[in-house]
Parts: sequence; C-alpha cells; structure tokens
Amino acid sequence: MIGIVVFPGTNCEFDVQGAYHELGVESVLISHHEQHLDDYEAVVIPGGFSYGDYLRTGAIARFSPIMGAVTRYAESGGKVLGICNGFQILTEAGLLPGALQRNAGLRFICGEVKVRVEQNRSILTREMTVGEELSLPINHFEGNYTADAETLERLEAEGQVVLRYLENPNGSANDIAGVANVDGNVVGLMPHPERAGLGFGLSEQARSMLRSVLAPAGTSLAS
Amino acid sequence: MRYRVSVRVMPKAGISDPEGKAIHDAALQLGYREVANVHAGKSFEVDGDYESEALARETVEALAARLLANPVIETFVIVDVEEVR
Repeated sequence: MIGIVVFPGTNCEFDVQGAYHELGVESVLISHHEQHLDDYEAVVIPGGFSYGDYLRTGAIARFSPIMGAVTRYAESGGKVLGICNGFQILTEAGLLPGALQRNAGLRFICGEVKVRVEQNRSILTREMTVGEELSLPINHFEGNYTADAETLERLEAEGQVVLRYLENPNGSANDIAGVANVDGNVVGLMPHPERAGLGFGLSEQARSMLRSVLAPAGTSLAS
Repeated sequence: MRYRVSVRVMPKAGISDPEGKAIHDAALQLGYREVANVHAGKSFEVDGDYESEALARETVEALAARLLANPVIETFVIVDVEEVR
C-alpha cells in the first residue's frame, strides 16, 4: 500500500493512483492534515498547484502538518517520491537540495521530453539501467533546477543526479531533471512518469521506474 | 503597538533570474537602451502587534528567513519598520 499526499491544489493524485493500480499496487490518498505515515510502503507527493503556488511553489505546503510526518518518514529511511509540484515541495522542505525556479525564458512547458537515467541506486531507478533513455511528459512553469556551484558539484560527485534531460527544456542547471538525497530514499523529478501513455497503458520504461520505488534493494547511493 | 515591517526579497547574486531577464529584454525592446540589468524580487508588508520596534524587526526577520525567502535562491532585507495607527 502506498500513500499519496493531497494538498489543496494538488491535481495529479488520481494519475498516480491509476498508474500504480495498473501495476497492481493499491494506494490511499492522504490528507495534508494527517500527521502519521508509518504504515505505507512508500509515499508519493504528486503534482499540481498546492496552495495556488502562492509565495513560491511548495513554500506553503512545506509547512502543512503532513510534512512533519513526511520528514520523519524520510529520515527513518521511508521511500518518498515527489513528482513536479511534489519535487518543489521536497526542495522547499529541505528534504532535497536546490530549488526549482521559473523556467528560463518564462515559458510554461507542456510536452514530451527525453531523459537519461544517471543513477540506478535511487528508489526511482532501481529497476532501470544507467544510460537508459526514455520519453516522459512534462508540464510545468517552475522546473528550472537551481543550486549554488558548490551544491551542484557535491550532487554530481555523490551521484545524486538521478535523471538528466537530453535537451534542456527549462534552463535547469547541469540539465538536471531529477535528484535524490544522499541515501537515495527521497527522490524528486519534474517529469510525470505516472502520465506516460496514460489511457493507453503505461510504457514499459515508465513501469520500471514506478515499480522501482517498491523494489526491496538497499537504498544507499554509496557504491 | 502595531508595527508594519517591510521586507524585500531578491534573487541571490549569481543565481539566474529569468523574470528579471525577461523584464530587461522588454525594457530594451521599448527603447530603454541604457538599462543594464533588471532584478525582479518580491516585497512584503507584515503588520503585527509587538511590544517594541526592535521586537517587531527581530520577529519578522525570523519569519522572512523561514517563510518569505528561500535561502537557496533568495536574500532578504528589512527595508523599514514603522508604527501604524
């Protein structure tokens, strides 16, 4: 059973639920008022516009009651996946490094992007191969991954960059599409694997990606 | 006493500022060729009841650090503290 966190303004919770249902994994929607998360196999923070994206994307959601529980869950090794707005919330909460700024050129982007798997020891990519390329939908205005030079260097050195764009769509530093924490149990990405081929069956690669979250292997990024 | 604390949040030096850049491009397009740079930020007025001006400043400073600005990409300054009637 996985938990899907729902804030006011979240709008991708049913896409995530449907995608995991297709994989035979049941899920429950968890209200942002909730303060306990211990029973779930994994927690997904889906996309949307939590709290209207006021102040900064994820800035208000980050202080809602559920986030205390998400932080404790992540710190005790629980698997946390943030997709799009979920990624933004995880960076605001300090569970992932960096920040997501407005896209370069101030363009809202919606379409398909190609990304490359850079790391397969994170919870998102354990069933995938390093160097594997796949197409995923993107749909965002604030996906421009930003961090200071020192942080970027550390991310690269520690293998925390999980996914990279083949063609940078939004100005992200080092073409970063997804990052993990040092232990690999918290991952955020801007593309939407849960929406890849939605309505026509999930693509094989998107299946591997979403199934990876539940795979039993250890999660440390240390080789 | 009620105080109004004005806070300005700006992008950190060295961090890309796509909004400022878009505004700069528009200014150039309008013929303002002397405009060398535009930085886009946010401005807040926080009204609250505090025992002193110093306490108002100190409290809103802490609030700005936690909520109004994201230290990864932004810096903030307290621009002004004034009494409001």
